[in-house]
Amino acid sequence: MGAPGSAGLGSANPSDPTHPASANPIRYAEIVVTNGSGSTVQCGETAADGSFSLSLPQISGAYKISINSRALNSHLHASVLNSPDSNTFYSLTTTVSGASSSSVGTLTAPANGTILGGAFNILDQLLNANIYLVAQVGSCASTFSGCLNYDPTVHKIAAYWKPGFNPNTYFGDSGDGLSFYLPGYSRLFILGGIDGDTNSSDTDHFDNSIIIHEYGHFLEDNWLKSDSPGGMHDGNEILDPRLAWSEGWGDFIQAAVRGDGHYIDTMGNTDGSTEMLFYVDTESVSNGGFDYTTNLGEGNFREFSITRLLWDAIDPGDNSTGGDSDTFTDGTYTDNVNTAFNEIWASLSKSSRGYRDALFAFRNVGLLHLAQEWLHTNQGAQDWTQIRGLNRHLGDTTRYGQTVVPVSSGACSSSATTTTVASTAYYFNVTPTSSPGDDGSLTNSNLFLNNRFYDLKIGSTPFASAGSHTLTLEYRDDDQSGTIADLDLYLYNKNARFGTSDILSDSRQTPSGTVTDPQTESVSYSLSNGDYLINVSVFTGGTLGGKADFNLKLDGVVLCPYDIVQ
Amino acid sequence: MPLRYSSVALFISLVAIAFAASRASDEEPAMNSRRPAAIAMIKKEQILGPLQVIPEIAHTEKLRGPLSVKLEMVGPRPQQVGDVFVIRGTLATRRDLNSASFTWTIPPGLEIVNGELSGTVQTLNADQPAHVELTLRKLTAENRQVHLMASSSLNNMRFGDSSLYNTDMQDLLTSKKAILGGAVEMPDKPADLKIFH
Repeated sequence: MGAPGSAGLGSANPSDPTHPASANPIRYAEIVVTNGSGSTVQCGETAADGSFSLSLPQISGAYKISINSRALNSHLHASVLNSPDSNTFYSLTTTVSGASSSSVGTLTAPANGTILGGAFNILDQLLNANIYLVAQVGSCASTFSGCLNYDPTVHKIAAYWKPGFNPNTYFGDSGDGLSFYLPGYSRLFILGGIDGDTNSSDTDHFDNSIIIHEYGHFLEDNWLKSDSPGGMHDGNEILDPRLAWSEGWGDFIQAAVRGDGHYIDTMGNTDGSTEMLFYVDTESVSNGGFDYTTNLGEGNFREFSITRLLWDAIDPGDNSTGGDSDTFTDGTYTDNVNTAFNEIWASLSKSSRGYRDALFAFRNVGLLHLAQEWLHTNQGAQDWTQIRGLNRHLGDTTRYGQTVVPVSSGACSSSATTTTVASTAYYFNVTPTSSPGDDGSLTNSNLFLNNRFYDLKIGSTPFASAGSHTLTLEYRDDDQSGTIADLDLYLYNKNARFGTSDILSDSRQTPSGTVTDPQTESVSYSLSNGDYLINVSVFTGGTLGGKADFNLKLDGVVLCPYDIVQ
Repeated sequence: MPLRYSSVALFISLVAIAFAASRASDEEPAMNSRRPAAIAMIKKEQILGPLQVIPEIAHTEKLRGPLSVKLEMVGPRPQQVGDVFVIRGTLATRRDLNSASFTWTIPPGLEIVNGELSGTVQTLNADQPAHVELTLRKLTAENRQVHLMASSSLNNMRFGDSSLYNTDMQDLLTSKKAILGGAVEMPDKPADLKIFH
């Protein structure tokens, strides 16, 4: 007997949230046939077009055919389940006579009503992601040595979803709908509605952007590496660059898999009321638009700036077919990179000079740039200079996570940026800048403009060894006139959530003496092997002061920039 | 307990949760003790403010646009069929908007006494939430779900938000969710549990 299966799958039309879901085949899903007593008599899976054909013993009774929301095959290792406590998959079922050969016709998992199609759509999006990844980087190592070839059978994922259930319930449920990924468990939680309602509330089972975004976090967790601290983000703000990277990656991978440069979140379905909750262009943005910035380097701190950079790396790179261009005070930049997903994946998956490199810490897009630039220089990858400038990225970790090491000679290499003030060489600087919403508190400090962050590694040479250390910030006004800035020194643990109890020690005195006097902040702490984040922060609660040049010293020895991608 | 009422309550009650609050003990901050002297120093500490609290489970909120909608009941909750009550929606935004449109969805079992089912709020500013209200009459003893959704656009970005209010059991649901959110446990949770959205 044979039977093509189909289900209502797919999210609303991007330009019309009232557009009904379209029918798509249920691909590569498990099929189980049971007899009248409930015993399994046959197993199989649907084909790429959703069809299936099974040979069964002739019996006088009926068989029950179940297409289940799970797959364990060469395309997908995934289950869509109702809840972590019962782990029950969803089934699309029918019965067929066992007396003779027959067709069961087309089975449909609906997109409204019971919304069974929601379970199969989630499964289908995981499959879409795998198909894309296999096509793009299934043999990545043949192009870039050390790149991980993507294989859908290596890691299994469970997606939990229940119609009407809001996973925000796990956190006390503020009433806002929530989908999330649980790292370490390979579990997605997809929003099924609010308080039992699926028709007029926010749901995500047909929001493919959301489903694949969460799958992007699964990829980070299992194939790549993330240091994201989590936390609030609205996609239009300066963020901790680790969070900006992780969320920007998720926003990007959904666009890449769907082949559509938008991030789309809808609510409701045609049984109730519908609306577009979020619709963002991941290709281009105009001045004043969502997550737009003109400051070079600020893009490293912005979620959608990262998304757009990654999208520019894979979309056709000319203006006639989707490329974009913009002019800033430092020049005009044009998207001239294309089909570079394998460069992104290689930079993220390599265990040497890539995100999985043990030397990498506080992972942010700056490290991706360093890894990609190495591929460009050594293995024929494309030059990303233009798309970095276009999206206001610095191609390194200058503003966040720059590794520093003690240099006993007392002088950094000639390649280090050096400013001499009163006969003293300084290797770092910061210019205090007023920022909207900045009230001088740590909470509202502008992470890009008024902070600098450095990775202090404790380990073996060339890094400092474990033990008690004194970290010192020495700074001086750049032009020796006006008002000197007030810089403070913070030492964070590896979690390094800004302005939290992740601060191990701090020194935040007010400047003393005159504008020409050198200033010092100092902390002492016992450090074991690992990574620590040094934060030099401008106190903006008083007079801002002018540009300050500064040095960092560990036990009196100057700390210099260190290239971890050599 | 009416069937619909009980089914929703059961829905919430049956949520057996398999993960929990991370109570990983973060190291206590070793802030330098405040230096005695200067008033300026004390003032600086005050301006810098307290450290932010790290959530027990570090997780982000779902990506949202600047517009948000919240519903509340103004005055007493309806006790019986025929009671009239007022639902108020608050539209707030993090960025100034030229306008925001809103639409109420009222299910069978409720009758509109006063107010508009849809409309537009002109010039919604970041620091000035707007309110829209509906006066409704209960025609059934069962709980009913009232929805309000609002939408707007800005620089080629479209966004919106929605909110739901249960006429008879919102307080009960809210308290149950709060209890669930604080009581969930995952026996084999990792010590450094983090959640990403």
